[in-house]
Amino acid sequence: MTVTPLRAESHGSLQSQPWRVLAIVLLAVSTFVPFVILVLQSTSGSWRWPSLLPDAFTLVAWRGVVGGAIGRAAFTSTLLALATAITAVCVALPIGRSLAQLRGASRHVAAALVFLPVAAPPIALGAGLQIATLWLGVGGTAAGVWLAHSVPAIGYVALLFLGVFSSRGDDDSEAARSHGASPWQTWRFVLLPSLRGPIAEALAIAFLISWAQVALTLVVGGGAVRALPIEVLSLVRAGQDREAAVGALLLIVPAVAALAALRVGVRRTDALPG
Amino acid sequence: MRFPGEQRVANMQSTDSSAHASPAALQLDALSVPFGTGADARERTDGLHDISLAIARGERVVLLGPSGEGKTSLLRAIAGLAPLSHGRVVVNGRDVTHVAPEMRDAVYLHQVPVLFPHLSVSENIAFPLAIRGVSRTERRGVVQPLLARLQLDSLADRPPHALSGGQRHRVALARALAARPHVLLLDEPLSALDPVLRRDVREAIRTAHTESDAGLLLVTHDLDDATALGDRLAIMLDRTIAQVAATDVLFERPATRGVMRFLGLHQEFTGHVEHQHTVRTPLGHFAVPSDARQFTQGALTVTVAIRNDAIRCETCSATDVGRDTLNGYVMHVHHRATGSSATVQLAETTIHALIDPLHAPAVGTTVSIHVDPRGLLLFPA
Amino acid sequence: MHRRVPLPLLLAGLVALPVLFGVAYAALAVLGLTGAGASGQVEWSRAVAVVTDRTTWRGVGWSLYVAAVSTAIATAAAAVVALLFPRPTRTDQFARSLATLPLPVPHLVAAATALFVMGQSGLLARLLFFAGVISEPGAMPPLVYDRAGVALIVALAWKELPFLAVVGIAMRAGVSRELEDAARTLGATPAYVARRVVWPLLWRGLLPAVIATFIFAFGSFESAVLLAPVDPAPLPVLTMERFADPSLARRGEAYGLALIALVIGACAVAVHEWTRARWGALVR
Repeated sequence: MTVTPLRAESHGSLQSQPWRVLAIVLLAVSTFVPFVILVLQSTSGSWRWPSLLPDAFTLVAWRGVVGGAIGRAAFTSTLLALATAITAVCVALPIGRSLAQLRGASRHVAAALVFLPVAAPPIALGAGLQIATLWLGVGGTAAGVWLAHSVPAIGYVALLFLGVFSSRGDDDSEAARSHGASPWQTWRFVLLPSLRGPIAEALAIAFLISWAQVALTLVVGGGAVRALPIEVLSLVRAGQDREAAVGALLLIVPAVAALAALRVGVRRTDALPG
Repeated sequence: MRFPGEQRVANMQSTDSSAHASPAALQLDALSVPFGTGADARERTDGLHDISLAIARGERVVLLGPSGEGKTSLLRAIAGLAPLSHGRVVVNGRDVTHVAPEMRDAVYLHQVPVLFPHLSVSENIAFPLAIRGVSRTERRGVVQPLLARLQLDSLADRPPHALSGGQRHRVALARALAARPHVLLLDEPLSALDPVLRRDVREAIRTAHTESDAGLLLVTHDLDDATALGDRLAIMLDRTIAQVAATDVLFERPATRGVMRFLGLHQEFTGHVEHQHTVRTPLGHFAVPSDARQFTQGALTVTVAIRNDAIRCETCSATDVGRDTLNGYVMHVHHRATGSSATVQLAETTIHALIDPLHAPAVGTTVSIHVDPRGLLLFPA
Repeated sequence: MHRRVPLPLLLAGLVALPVLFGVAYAALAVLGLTGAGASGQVEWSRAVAVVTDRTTWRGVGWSLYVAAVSTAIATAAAAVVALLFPRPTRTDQFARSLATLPLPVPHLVAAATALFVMGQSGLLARLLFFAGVISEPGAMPPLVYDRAGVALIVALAWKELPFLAVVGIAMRAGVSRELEDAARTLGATPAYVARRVVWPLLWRGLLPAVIATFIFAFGSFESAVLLAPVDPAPLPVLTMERFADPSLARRGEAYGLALIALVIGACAVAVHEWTRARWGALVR
């Protein structure tokens, strides 16, 4: 049996095995080593120069989480992030849908406007928000920080849903309406059920935006709102590496877990700017 | 019955090659093409088998067959984009069976034209030239005439997404021509098009091919497209090529019952063999042509196929009696753009007979059926 | 006859309002018309002080430099991942997951880890000691708080790679098999296809994300505050310092710096949207 080889897959020397192996090794190191370092750091009793590994291990920093500053900060951050996520989706989903109706130049202007709060350097954005929250009477409070976090989150989620509704079209809403469903019923029974995936994605992204936020929390919260990143920042600057590592791990693990769980539904990258 | 001059009798798989002095543009020798594209593709036993065909330079051959028969797999295998499990592909006398796609001089065109989105129309057309290192001035010299020939002059700088369907087909054709291939492989180019666009693209294919000496192999499942474009038709049935012939030969002498049924130009009846030279059908007795006597020898029944246009119907006159005529009554009358026919109920069967659209018999009237024995074909039962 | 602004556009404006308000307020504040210590009359002193201060422009320039280099590195790495591992095989999927897994890790964590690794007595220094390259922490070339911003660039690049990889992978997947097949039968070798069909579509699709990455890196405060030198101080850090300054005048200058940052951000957004408009339809 003569067999024609399947069409050559190579893209020149770049596709050859050694490069791919090297790339995978580098990626693995880059992805996991930071995590390993943080784990070691968080459990190190004493780690003197020039040891590559800690000389002694201890869980004192971990045990101090519950009831300690880090634990409280994690709790604050979780509440803030949840509030931001829900706010962002409730506000930005209808906005994104509305934006999807625009065509041509208007659409590009709208997309740029909506991206502004996301791209604006947070310190600069915080400057204006600090004043605004002061005027609203929530300056220096968690409520003020929640509002501040919601600003970039709403922008990001609006952009996400602009993409979602652009590619969806209105066919099923039209079908529902011509069968007698009111706008509210259309939302409740047709649109929302079919948007479960994108909504979950939006919640996760908005949660992360708030969860990782530093500058806005500092400027608007004025140091009074101790979110977890603020706590970790202080610990690092104070040289308390072990406690800082604990805080850093608490910052990563829930976030990575949430996004990994979401990965199944995240196939679309129209969700992300660009 | 008449026989066409040079063609041999029925039930023969034709692996003819046109007798030209220069090598055939494309020659397929006993190809087997597996279905599927997975890693286990070559181990599968379904798929096309024993595909042999030769296409001369400048010739247009249409591969015609029902959907799902593997015609696309065959074309892709010829282009080097899908695996073969057996056989040889020869392009312009060169065995390319184990050669990479880009070295075969065989351009494959997808059903939906695939244009490079980041290049304008003229850049798309110039692509094969750019690959071959042709200088910009020379490229212009090739691209301009192609643009003119396919009426794309005004679209030279447009991006692909700003083109209509017909325009994209023409750009894809122009680009293929710029590669000056020995073989053009067109995969169902007309299938998804509305009638107007279909005519437009058919014309574009003809125009594009006229001044090229490439052999063109086009795949379709539509008989009209095939007859409009093909110098010869290759009928694909049962995972292999059943017959290759020019249109008129095909219509007159389908090689197998499968081909006959696929073309849909005949009506079938069971014929009872009375003796080696006569067969009895619901439409009367007919003489068995000499080349079909092999089927009647020792057989009780044969399949008798009669060309649709060999059956005519006329209103009865009382004295119509004769060996070739029957009487029946009209059940339906159908008027179509391609001609009018009546469904007539005979004693033993129902048939469709051609009628004069201006003098159509009324439903329920008695009519007489005339069968032209030259439109008769026999196949084994 | 008046043209009504369509509702969607108004809503978009509403979303952008905090930024627009911020720009307006910052402009007023730096001119002395509002904010603490405002006199109610236009005062150019603060604006002049900001614009003529060398540290302002050194900060802006340095932030731009760090953002550019880290984005370039992350883009190159993301492109390599997208091009090396495009197939649906298990190996390729594994590689892609590796590259995109750190996506949700906050900037702060990347910066803190960079500090642990590249600090004077960090892990890297200890590895070099182990290898016999240096004999004491002091001999370690400074990668943190250094003028070249090495640790900061590495931290930013590390953080931005997953995001660019996600986009790059999607763009690569959008270059259909059919495009490659068509090019192959027209005579293009696999290398030519990679260079002239895949790559041109990939970089055009990636460009908006690259610009977004650039501006995110430019504005990152937490990374800068942990890893950047005091001089030149990056813009976010400069701004923060001025904000916290007891002197009212200096606080006013902070608004000037914020204004500069916002203008740069707005320009980036405009370029981002322009590239999306120009090339967004290329790869589906």
